[in-house]
Amino acid sequence: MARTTLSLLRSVVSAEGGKRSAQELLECVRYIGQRLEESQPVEMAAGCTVRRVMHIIRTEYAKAVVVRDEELAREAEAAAARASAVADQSEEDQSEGDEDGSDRADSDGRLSLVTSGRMVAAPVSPRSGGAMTPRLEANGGALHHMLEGAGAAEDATPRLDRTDVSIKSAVLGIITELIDDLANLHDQIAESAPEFISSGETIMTLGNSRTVREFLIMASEKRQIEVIVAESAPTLAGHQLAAELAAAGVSTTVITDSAVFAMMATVSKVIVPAHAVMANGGIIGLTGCNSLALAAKRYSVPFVVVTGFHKLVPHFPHDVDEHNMHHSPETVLHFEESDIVDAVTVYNPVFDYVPPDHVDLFVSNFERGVHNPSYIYRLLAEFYSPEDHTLH
Amino acid sequence: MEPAGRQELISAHLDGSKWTKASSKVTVTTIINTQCITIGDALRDMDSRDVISGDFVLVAGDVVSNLDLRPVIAEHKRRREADKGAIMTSVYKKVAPSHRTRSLNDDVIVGLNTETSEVVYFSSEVESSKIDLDVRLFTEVPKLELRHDLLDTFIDICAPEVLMLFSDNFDYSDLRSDFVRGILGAEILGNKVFAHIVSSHYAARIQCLKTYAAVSLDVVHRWTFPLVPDSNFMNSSLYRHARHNVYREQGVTLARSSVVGGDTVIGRGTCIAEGASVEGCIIGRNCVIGKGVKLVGCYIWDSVTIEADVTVESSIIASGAVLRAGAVVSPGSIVSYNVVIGAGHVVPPSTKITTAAPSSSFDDASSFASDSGELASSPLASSPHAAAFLARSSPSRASAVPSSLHADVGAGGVGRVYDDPCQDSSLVLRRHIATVHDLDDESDSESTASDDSLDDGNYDPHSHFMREMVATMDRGATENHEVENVAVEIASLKLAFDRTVADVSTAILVWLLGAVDAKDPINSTKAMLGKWSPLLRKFQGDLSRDDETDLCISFQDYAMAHPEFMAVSHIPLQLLYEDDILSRNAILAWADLVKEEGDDVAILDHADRFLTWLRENNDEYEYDSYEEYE
Repeated sequence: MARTTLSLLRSVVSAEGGKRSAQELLECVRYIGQRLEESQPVEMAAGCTVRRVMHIIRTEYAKAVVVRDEELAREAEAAAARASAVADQSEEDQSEGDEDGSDRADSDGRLSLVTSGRMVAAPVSPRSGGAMTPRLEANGGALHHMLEGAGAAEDATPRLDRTDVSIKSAVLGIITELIDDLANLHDQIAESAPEFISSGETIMTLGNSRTVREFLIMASEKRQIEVIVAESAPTLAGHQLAAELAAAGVSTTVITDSAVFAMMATVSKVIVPAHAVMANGGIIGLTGCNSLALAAKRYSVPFVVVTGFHKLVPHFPHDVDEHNMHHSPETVLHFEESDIVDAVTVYNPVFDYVPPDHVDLFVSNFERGVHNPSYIYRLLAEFYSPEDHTLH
Repeated sequence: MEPAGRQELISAHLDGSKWTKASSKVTVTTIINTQCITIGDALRDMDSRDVISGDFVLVAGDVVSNLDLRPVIAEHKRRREADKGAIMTSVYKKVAPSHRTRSLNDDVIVGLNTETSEVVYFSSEVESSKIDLDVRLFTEVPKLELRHDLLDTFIDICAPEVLMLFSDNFDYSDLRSDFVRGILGAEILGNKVFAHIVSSHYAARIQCLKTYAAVSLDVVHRWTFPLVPDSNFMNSSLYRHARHNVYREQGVTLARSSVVGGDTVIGRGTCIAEGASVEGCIIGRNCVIGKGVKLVGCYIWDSVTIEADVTVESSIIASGAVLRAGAVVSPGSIVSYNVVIGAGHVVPPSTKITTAAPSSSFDDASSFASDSGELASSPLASSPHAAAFLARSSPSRASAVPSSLHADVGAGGVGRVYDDPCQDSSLVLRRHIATVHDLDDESDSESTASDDSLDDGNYDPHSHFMREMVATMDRGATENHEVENVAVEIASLKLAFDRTVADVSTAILVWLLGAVDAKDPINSTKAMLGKWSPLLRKFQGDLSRDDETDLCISFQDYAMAHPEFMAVSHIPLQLLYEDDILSRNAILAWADLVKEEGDDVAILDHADRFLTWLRENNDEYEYDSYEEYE
């Protein structure tokens, strides 16, 4: 999901990035994000990827503005040195005005009017005085804004309407990097597996996620481990995982979901995948995840979430229903059984919410790879701009 | 297949859907043909247009399914490569016979060769208590299964030969009863039909109100996943799913004390006031639900206003309707477009209320056909000829009945009960009531309630047959076919539906009477009889006297249903006698029967002179013309 969204955004940026200002590009990406989120509210990876790209556009823009301002300053200095400063500076302004004109012809009417309206103020560039501020923002400013709250609100929504900077290639470069990162995600996470698992451990998991599977296989190559898989009814994805682990030579046991608590006493670590990581450090996982977490808590077994942080969502789980999805009851009860179908209602939820106090550790490919749930809010600032948390 | 006006709606829907956008991976071509009455006509039309050259998927327009067709198509192609005669693969879903989603209409019994899943027997006769099986089935098929637990999904993978077969057999009108049986009956041609049975996916057809309710519930219960409201796959909605299968679109306003029960869908802009309770309902957009309203199991379409303290149970309220304060709509009712039910009025169970003027029966028929969601499956509404027939049959009532009846909709109401003229005549032999009004009623009268007793009239091969007959006769009349050709078509219909000659005669008679002009009964009847009496006689040869008496009873039923016809009813009766279509004995036997029953003797009053004359002329006295007798 994240990868498809990135490819989509890459093609959008490469088509539109050249002729539009950063602000327009941002709006364009935001619109795509809105559509994606509206149509599939539970597929949070798409919206998050869009936010990530918006954040990239903002930071790249800020960087580009700094560079451009430095250039302008240098040119101005050079001009001054040539002692014909005043005349040259006006020419410079003139040429910028021309650029604006050609831009207007390219892009569609409404947006360019807004842009040119702002252009009157922009070339004077009050920001060039404090040339270092944007750089600071690019690195750690977002968190600063979050803490400052309303006081920083004016700064928090600067318009990205300088047309004398081009961020297209830079943004495209970073998006491509992200796509590569996603492709290598499983390998990178798996590589770190032996660091977290020692020999002789018994590990319980559920579902069938590629991240966890490769993590466990890699661990078993270096360490002697035993894996217990909860079957994860009604999809029985656990059966599939067990078969694949066994094929890879991992010592594997399958249990029913109801036996999770009974088996927990023998387990030394619980390792689960996540569908999404919420802003408070909780996770949306496969259904049955929370009972696994509660059992682990009861026996003080570490509950480890192995996931890429492209699944990090800047939302708090106020309404858990909103992040859930219900599949067809067909896998629970066959439709042809008329008497029962009429008499009962079947729910087949796909996801489960695990609150942060039941999660002990996140293992990912980001930074050193290990994070506490309480650190998640800090990652949010690294990944997203607070003004993008809601796309509307 | 659609009546005038509706094809524009369908075209507009398709043009606005994502399938016709530039980004869509499929190309949508809309072909409109208003002349088609049956599936057979449509397929013959497709054949003549020559637009399909390869294998194709044939789906009825009212199918809801999340079935992945790829394996079915692959299986079909594999079979086709091995055997060129495998021209069709029909998809059946395994569903117990008592299941709510099974329409009584296609209660099919399918015989399968277990090893090849070839269809070797097909029967959709639900009435008879026995089925006939050819002994050869057991000798020729090594392992035979007869199944009654299959729901016909009306999804078929067809080879192009299917179109050709339809063109070759111009009397094929139905895909199942004509085509499949035709193939099974002509083994010598080597064509075979196969069945693909699905059990893990959902597929069902909305054929009547019962299945409308059942499929809606299946969607709400998510059996059709991913085709559920919160998938928002039409790109025009923003539904969210919450616990207890409550679906709310963005922009719904719920008052603090309102109660939204399980299995409910609420569309954008709808507002539910304090103290209202809603359970198991599907509510459209921009509806206003007033204080203290109680809604249970309802289908409320768009922009409906329901004022305070109204109660509605298991009913359909169509778009734009208004229910004034304190009104009650009892289970099984349909309130059509823009009807207003007055304050405190109680609508009795299974009532249909419309704003359509009684004169334009066609509008009624089509508006109710759309009410009940059976656009495609009701040939009645789609046949302009049948509609003309309907309109013709009740010209005088139009002026007599006001467009709104306060007894029907209460003070300040707009609309009237959609009355079926046949419904209030209390007749002994209902079986032969063959006016098209009645057919229309039967297809509409199923209730949304799951109460079995209300579903009895769900499907009747007889009424289906009658519709086909009317269509055939209309075609014959307007296109001026030779009587012999019409007779061949009727004979094939008779075989296809397994009807008796009495049924056929009744249908022809009723159709003829429909063409009688009350203002000029003598000439119009003579004109009709002049052309069609050979047809009647053709089928009437085998009639017993009882059959002829039955024919008289259908004649009476028709007269009862059409008051303006009643006054002149003796004229056609006599002309029928003159033309040797009704015998003297039969007419007299019928007259005695009516007297015995004691009701509806009015018709005898009109025919009194004629009957007296009949009785008095025991010998075969020849009289030359009607005028003399007058």
